Amino acid sequence: VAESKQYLRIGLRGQEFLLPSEASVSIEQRENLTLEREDPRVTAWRVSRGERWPAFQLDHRLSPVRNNDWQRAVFVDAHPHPVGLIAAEIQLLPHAIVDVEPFTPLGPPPTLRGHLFSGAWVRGNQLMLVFSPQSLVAYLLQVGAPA
Amino acid sequence: VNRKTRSQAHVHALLVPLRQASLLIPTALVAEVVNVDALLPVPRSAEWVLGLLNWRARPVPVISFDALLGHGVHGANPRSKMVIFYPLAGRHAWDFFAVVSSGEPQPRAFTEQEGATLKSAVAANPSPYLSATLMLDGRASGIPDLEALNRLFYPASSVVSAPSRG
Repeated sequence: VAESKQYLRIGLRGQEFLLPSEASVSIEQRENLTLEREDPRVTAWRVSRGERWPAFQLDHRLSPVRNNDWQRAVFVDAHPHPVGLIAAEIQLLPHAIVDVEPFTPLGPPPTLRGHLFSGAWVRGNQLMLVFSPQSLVAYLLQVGAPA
Repeated sequence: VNRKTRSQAHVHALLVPLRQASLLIPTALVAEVVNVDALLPVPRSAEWVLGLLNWRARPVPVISFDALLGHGVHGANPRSKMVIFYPLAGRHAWDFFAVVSSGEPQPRAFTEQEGATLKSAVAANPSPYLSATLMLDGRASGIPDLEALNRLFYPASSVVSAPSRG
Protein backbone atom coordinates (compact mmCIF):
# COMPACT_ATOMS: atom_id res chain seq x y z
CA VAL A 1 0.00 0.00 0.00
CA ALA A 2 1.46 3.37 -0.98
CA GLU A 3 1.85 5.71 1.94
CA SER A 4 -0.57 8.58 1.86
CA LYS A 5 0.06 11.91 3.58
CA GLN A 6 -3.56 12.22 4.61
CA TYR A 7 -6.75 10.25 4.29
CA LEU A 8 -10.36 11.21 3.81
CA ARG A 9 -12.80 9.34 6.01
CA ILE A 10 -15.95 8.93 3.96
CA GLY A 11 -19.21 7.95 5.63
CA LEU A 12 -21.68 6.08 3.44
CA ARG A 13 -24.63 5.49 5.76
CA GLY A 14 -23.69 2.39 7.71
CA GLN A 15 -20.03 1.96 6.86
CA GLU A 16 -17.03 4.25 6.68
CA PHE A 17 -14.16 4.04 4.21
CA LEU A 18 -10.81 5.76 3.73
CA LEU A 19 -9.52 7.33 0.55
CA PRO A 20 -5.94 8.63 0.15
CA SER A 21 -6.43 12.38 0.08
CA GLU A 22 -4.16 12.93 -2.93
CA ALA A 23 -6.73 11.10 -5.09
CA SER A 24 -9.26 13.83 -4.38
CA VAL A 25 -9.35 16.89 -6.62
CA SER A 26 -12.26 18.59 -4.89
CA ILE A 27 -14.67 18.30 -1.99
CA GLU A 28 -17.89 20.15 -2.57
CA GLN A 29 -20.73 21.08 -0.27
CA ARG A 30 -24.17 20.03 -1.37
CA GLU A 31 -25.28 23.63 -1.92
CA ASN A 32 -22.55 24.05 -4.52
CA LEU A 33 -23.80 21.12 -6.60
CA THR A 34 -26.65 20.91 -9.08
CA LEU A 35 -29.10 18.15 -8.25
CA GLU A 36 -29.98 15.76 -11.07
CA ARG A 37 -33.71 15.07 -11.28
CA GLU A 38 -34.04 12.98 -14.44
CA ASP A 39 -31.06 10.65 -14.83
CA PRO A 40 -31.44 7.99 -12.07
CA ARG A 41 -27.76 7.09 -12.23
CA VAL A 42 -26.46 10.54 -11.27
CA THR A 43 -27.32 12.28 -8.01
CA ALA A 44 -25.72 15.67 -8.64
CA TRP A 45 -23.31 17.56 -10.84
CA ARG A 46 -20.45 19.91 -10.18
CA VAL A 47 -20.64 22.53 -12.92
CA SER A 48 -17.50 24.51 -13.50
CA ARG A 49 -15.98 26.26 -16.49
CA GLY A 50 -18.27 24.56 -18.94
CA GLU A 51 -17.59 21.08 -17.54
CA ARG A 52 -20.03 18.86 -15.69
CA TRP A 53 -18.65 16.34 -13.21
CA PRO A 54 -21.15 13.65 -12.15
CA ALA A 55 -21.49 12.55 -8.55
CA PHE A 56 -22.88 9.15 -7.64
CA GLN A 57 -24.50 8.01 -4.43
CA LEU A 58 -23.75 4.56 -3.00
CA ASP A 59 -24.84 2.75 0.12
CA HIS A 60 -22.62 0.85 2.56
CA ARG A 61 -22.59 -2.14 0.18
CA LEU A 62 -21.54 0.22 -2.63
CA SER A 63 -24.84 -0.34 -4.40
CA PRO A 64 -26.35 2.69 -6.13
CA VAL A 65 -28.89 4.38 -3.91
CA ARG A 66 -30.85 7.61 -3.89
CA ASN A 67 -31.78 9.57 -0.80
CA ASN A 68 -31.57 13.12 0.46
CA ASP A 69 -29.50 12.48 3.56
CA TRP A 70 -26.11 13.72 2.36
CA GLN A 71 -23.99 16.81 2.72
CA ARG A 72 -20.94 16.58 0.49
CA ALA A 73 -19.31 14.94 -2.49
CA VAL A 74 -15.67 14.07 -2.98
CA PHE A 75 -14.44 14.21 -6.57
CA VAL A 76 -11.69 11.85 -7.67
CA ASP A 77 -9.37 12.50 -10.58
CA ALA A 78 -10.48 10.62 -13.71
CA HIS A 79 -10.54 10.91 -17.48
CA PRO A 80 -12.06 12.82 -19.24
CA HIS A 81 -13.20 14.58 -16.06
CA PRO A 82 -13.33 13.82 -12.34
CA VAL A 83 -16.16 11.73 -10.91
CA GLY A 84 -17.75 12.22 -7.52
CA LEU A 85 -18.85 10.07 -4.62
CA ILE A 86 -21.70 11.42 -2.50
CA ALA A 87 -21.10 11.09 1.23
CA ALA A 88 -23.05 11.64 4.40
CA GLU A 89 -19.87 13.03 5.90
CA ILE A 90 -16.22 13.50 4.99
CA GLN A 91 -13.38 14.06 7.45
CA LEU A 92 -9.70 14.71 6.78
CA LEU A 93 -7.40 12.51 8.87
CA PRO A 94 -3.66 13.10 9.28
CA HIS A 95 -1.34 10.29 8.33
CA ALA A 96 0.08 10.12 11.82
CA ILE A 97 -3.09 8.63 13.26
CA VAL A 98 -3.89 6.25 10.40
CA ASP A 99 -2.13 2.88 10.43
CA VAL A 100 -3.00 1.15 7.17
CA GLU A 101 -2.14 -2.52 6.76
CA PRO A 102 -2.24 -4.10 3.29
CA PHE A 103 -4.44 -7.00 2.32
CA THR A 104 -5.40 -8.62 -0.96
CA PRO A 105 -9.16 -9.01 -1.45
CA LEU A 106 -10.06 -12.54 -2.51
CA GLY A 107 -11.86 -13.60 -5.67
CA PRO A 108 -12.54 -11.87 -8.95
CA PRO A 109 -12.07 -8.08 -8.87
CA PRO A 110 -15.25 -6.08 -9.46
CA THR A 111 -13.62 -3.61 -11.85
CA LEU A 112 -11.27 -3.75 -14.80
CA ARG A 113 -8.76 -1.82 -12.68
CA GLY A 114 -8.76 -4.43 -9.97
CA HIS A 115 -10.12 -4.69 -6.46
CA LEU A 116 -11.76 -1.75 -4.74
CA PHE A 117 -9.62 -1.99 -1.62
CA SER A 118 -5.90 -2.16 -1.04
CA GLY A 119 -5.69 -2.17 2.72
CA ALA A 120 -7.43 -1.51 5.97
CA TRP A 121 -6.93 0.94 8.79
CA VAL A 122 -6.40 -0.99 12.01
CA ARG A 123 -7.68 0.93 15.03
CA GLY A 124 -7.47 -1.23 18.11
CA ASN A 125 -9.93 -4.01 17.39
CA GLN A 126 -11.65 -2.06 14.59
CA LEU A 127 -10.97 -2.16 10.84
CA MET A 128 -11.82 0.36 8.11
CA LEU A 129 -11.40 -0.38 4.40
CA VAL A 130 -9.12 1.81 2.28
CA PHE A 131 -10.18 2.47 -1.31
CA SER A 132 -7.78 1.94 -4.17
CA PRO A 133 -8.38 5.27 -6.02
CA GLN A 134 -8.05 3.91 -9.57
CA SER A 135 -10.44 1.08 -8.86
CA LEU A 136 -12.91 3.41 -7.16
CA VAL A 137 -12.90 5.60 -10.28
CA ALA A 138 -13.45 2.55 -12.49
CA TYR A 139 -16.31 1.43 -10.25
CA LEU A 140 -17.98 4.85 -10.26
CA LEU A 141 -17.74 4.96 -14.05
CA GLN A 142 -19.35 1.50 -14.15
CA VAL A 143 -22.14 2.76 -11.92
CA GLY A 144 -22.66 5.72 -14.24
CA ALA A 145 -22.45 3.77 -17.47
CA PRO A 146 -25.65 3.40 -19.50
CA ALA A 147 -27.37 0.09 -18.85
CA VAL B 1 15.67 -48.24 15.88
CA ASN B 2 15.34 -46.69 12.47
CA ARG B 3 12.50 -49.01 11.61
CA LYS B 4 10.72 -48.10 14.85
CA THR B 5 11.26 -44.39 14.22
CA ARG B 6 9.83 -44.66 10.74
CA SER B 7 6.80 -46.61 11.91
CA GLN B 8 6.08 -43.96 14.52
CA ALA B 9 6.54 -41.01 12.19
CA HIS B 10 3.46 -38.89 12.36
CA VAL B 11 1.70 -36.57 9.99
CA HIS B 12 -0.02 -33.94 12.05
CA ALA B 13 -3.27 -32.51 10.82
CA LEU B 14 -6.27 -30.55 11.98
CA LEU B 15 -9.77 -31.87 11.38
CA VAL B 16 -11.92 -28.78 10.88
CA PRO B 17 -15.67 -29.37 11.01
CA LEU B 18 -17.85 -27.59 8.47
CA ARG B 19 -21.62 -27.79 8.22
CA GLN B 20 -21.84 -30.91 6.04
CA ALA B 21 -18.26 -32.15 5.87
CA SER B 22 -14.84 -31.57 7.40
CA LEU B 23 -11.51 -30.30 6.19
CA LEU B 24 -8.32 -32.22 6.91
CA ILE B 25 -5.54 -29.65 7.00
CA PRO B 26 -1.83 -30.28 7.64
CA THR B 27 -1.00 -28.28 10.74
CA ALA B 28 1.99 -26.77 8.95
CA LEU B 29 -0.49 -24.68 6.94
CA VAL B 30 -2.22 -23.27 10.02
CA ALA B 31 -0.94 -20.17 11.76
CA GLU B 32 -3.47 -20.14 14.58
CA VAL B 33 -6.99 -21.11 15.57
CA VAL B 34 -8.84 -18.24 17.21
CA ASN B 35 -12.25 -17.47 18.60
CA VAL B 36 -14.81 -15.82 16.40
CA ASP B 37 -14.76 -12.06 16.35
CA ALA B 38 -16.73 -9.44 14.46
CA LEU B 39 -16.06 -9.38 10.72
CA LEU B 40 -15.97 -6.25 8.59
CA PRO B 41 -18.00 -6.75 5.40
CA VAL B 42 -16.03 -6.25 2.16
CA PRO B 43 -18.47 -4.81 -0.41
CA ARG B 44 -18.52 -6.28 -3.92
CA SER B 45 -16.80 -9.47 -2.80
CA ALA B 46 -17.58 -13.00 -3.90
CA GLU B 47 -20.38 -14.58 -1.87
CA TRP B 48 -17.94 -17.01 -0.23
CA VAL B 49 -16.03 -14.11 1.34
CA LEU B 50 -17.55 -13.52 4.78
CA GLY B 51 -15.53 -10.43 5.63
CA LEU B 52 -12.33 -9.21 7.21
CA LEU B 53 -11.01 -10.35 10.57
CA ASN B 54 -8.71 -8.23 12.68
CA TRP B 55 -6.07 -10.81 13.59
CA ARG B 56 -3.00 -9.55 15.42
CA ALA B 57 -3.58 -6.08 13.94
CA ARG B 58 -3.73 -7.51 10.40
CA PRO B 59 -6.77 -7.50 8.13
CA VAL B 60 -7.39 -11.15 7.21
CA PRO B 61 -10.10 -12.24 4.73
CA VAL B 62 -12.39 -14.96 6.07
CA ILE B 63 -14.08 -17.44 3.73
CA SER B 64 -16.91 -19.93 3.97
CA PHE B 65 -15.49 -23.23 2.72
CA ASP B 66 -19.05 -24.56 2.93
CA ALA B 67 -19.89 -22.17 0.12
CA LEU B 68 -16.95 -23.40 -1.97
CA LEU B 69 -18.27 -26.94 -1.53
CA GLY B 70 -21.71 -25.88 -2.70
CA HIS B 71 -23.28 -26.22 0.73
CA GLY B 72 -24.46 -22.64 1.04
CA VAL B 73 -22.90 -19.64 2.74
CA HIS B 74 -22.69 -20.18 6.48
CA GLY B 75 -21.35 -17.65 8.92
CA ALA B 76 -20.14 -18.36 12.40
CA ASN B 77 -22.17 -20.01 15.14
CA PRO B 78 -21.41 -19.91 18.90
CA ARG B 79 -19.13 -22.97 18.58
CA SER B 80 -17.28 -21.73 15.53
CA LYS B 81 -13.57 -20.98 15.32
CA MET B 82 -11.50 -19.10 12.79
CA VAL B 83 -8.69 -21.20 11.32
CA ILE B 84 -5.97 -18.82 10.15
CA PHE B 85 -3.93 -20.12 7.20
CA TYR B 86 -0.43 -18.99 6.30
CA PRO B 87 -0.19 -17.26 2.88
CA LEU B 88 -0.36 -19.62 -0.07
CA ALA B 89 2.76 -20.32 -2.12
CA GLY B 90 4.06 -17.29 -3.96
CA ARG B 91 1.84 -14.81 -2.17
CA HIS B 92 2.69 -11.70 -0.17
CA ALA B 93 3.78 -12.20 3.41
CA TRP B 94 0.56 -10.50 4.55
CA ASP B 95 -1.82 -12.72 2.54
CA PHE B 96 -3.11 -14.78 5.44
CA PHE B 97 -6.68 -16.03 5.07
CA ALA B 98 -9.11 -17.74 7.40
CA VAL B 99 -11.76 -20.44 7.21
CA VAL B 100 -14.70 -20.41 9.59
CA SER B 101 -15.45 -23.77 11.20
CA SER B 102 -18.76 -25.00 12.56
CA GLY B 103 -17.14 -26.40 15.72
CA GLU B 104 -13.89 -26.95 17.56
CA PRO B 105 -11.10 -28.20 15.23
CA GLN B 106 -9.56 -31.46 16.39
CA PRO B 107 -5.85 -32.29 16.12
CA ARG B 108 -5.15 -35.61 14.42
CA ALA B 109 -1.90 -37.49 13.89
CA PHE B 110 -1.37 -40.33 11.47
CA THR B 111 1.47 -42.81 11.44
CA GLU B 112 2.76 -44.03 8.12
CA GLN B 113 0.80 -47.23 8.63
CA GLU B 114 -2.38 -45.28 9.28
CA GLY B 115 -1.62 -43.16 6.26
CA ALA B 116 -1.57 -46.28 4.14
CA THR B 117 -4.90 -47.31 5.65
CA LEU B 118 -6.34 -43.93 4.83
CA LYS B 119 -5.63 -44.51 1.17
CA SER B 120 -8.32 -47.16 1.24
CA ALA B 121 -10.72 -44.62 2.71
CA VAL B 122 -10.61 -42.35 -0.30
CA ALA B 123 -14.08 -41.33 -1.34
CA ALA B 124 -15.45 -39.60 -4.38
CA ASN B 125 -14.14 -36.05 -4.58
CA PRO B 126 -17.04 -33.66 -5.03
CA SER B 127 -15.17 -30.37 -5.33
CA PRO B 128 -12.52 -28.74 -7.51
CA TYR B 129 -11.20 -27.08 -4.35
CA LEU B 130 -10.32 -30.40 -2.69
CA SER B 131 -7.38 -32.52 -3.74
CA ALA B 132 -8.88 -35.61 -2.14
CA THR B 133 -11.75 -36.67 0.09
CA LEU B 134 -11.45 -39.32 2.80
CA MET B 135 -14.01 -40.94 5.05
CA LEU B 136 -12.90 -40.23 8.63
CA ASP B 137 -15.07 -41.16 11.57
CA GLY B 138 -17.88 -41.78 9.13
CA ARG B 139 -17.71 -38.24 7.75
CA ALA B 140 -16.40 -36.95 4.45
CA SER B 141 -13.20 -35.01 5.09
CA GLY B 142 -11.66 -33.04 2.28
CA ILE B 143 -8.04 -32.04 1.85
CA PRO B 144 -7.90 -28.51 0.38
CA ASP B 145 -6.30 -28.17 -3.05
CA LEU B 146 -3.97 -25.26 -2.41
CA GLU B 147 -3.21 -24.60 -6.09
CA ALA B 148 -6.93 -24.46 -6.90
CA LEU B 149 -7.50 -22.10 -3.96
CA ASN B 150 -4.64 -19.90 -5.14
CA ARG B 151 -6.26 -19.60 -8.58
CA LEU B 152 -9.67 -18.91 -7.03
CA PHE B 153 -8.43 -16.36 -4.50
CA TYR B 154 -6.09 -14.42 -6.79
CA PRO B 155 -7.40 -14.82 -10.35
CA ALA B 156 -6.09 -11.48 -11.60
CA SER B 157 -2.53 -11.81 -10.40
CA SER B 158 0.36 -14.07 -11.11
CA VAL B 159 2.71 -15.16 -8.37
CA VAL B 160 4.05 -12.11 -6.61
CA SER B 161 7.70 -11.37 -6.06
CA ALA B 162 9.52 -11.95 -2.82
CA PRO B 163 7.63 -10.61 0.17
CA SER B 164 8.55 -7.05 0.97
CA ARG B 165 6.81 -6.87 4.28
CA GLY B 166 6.36 -9.22 7.17
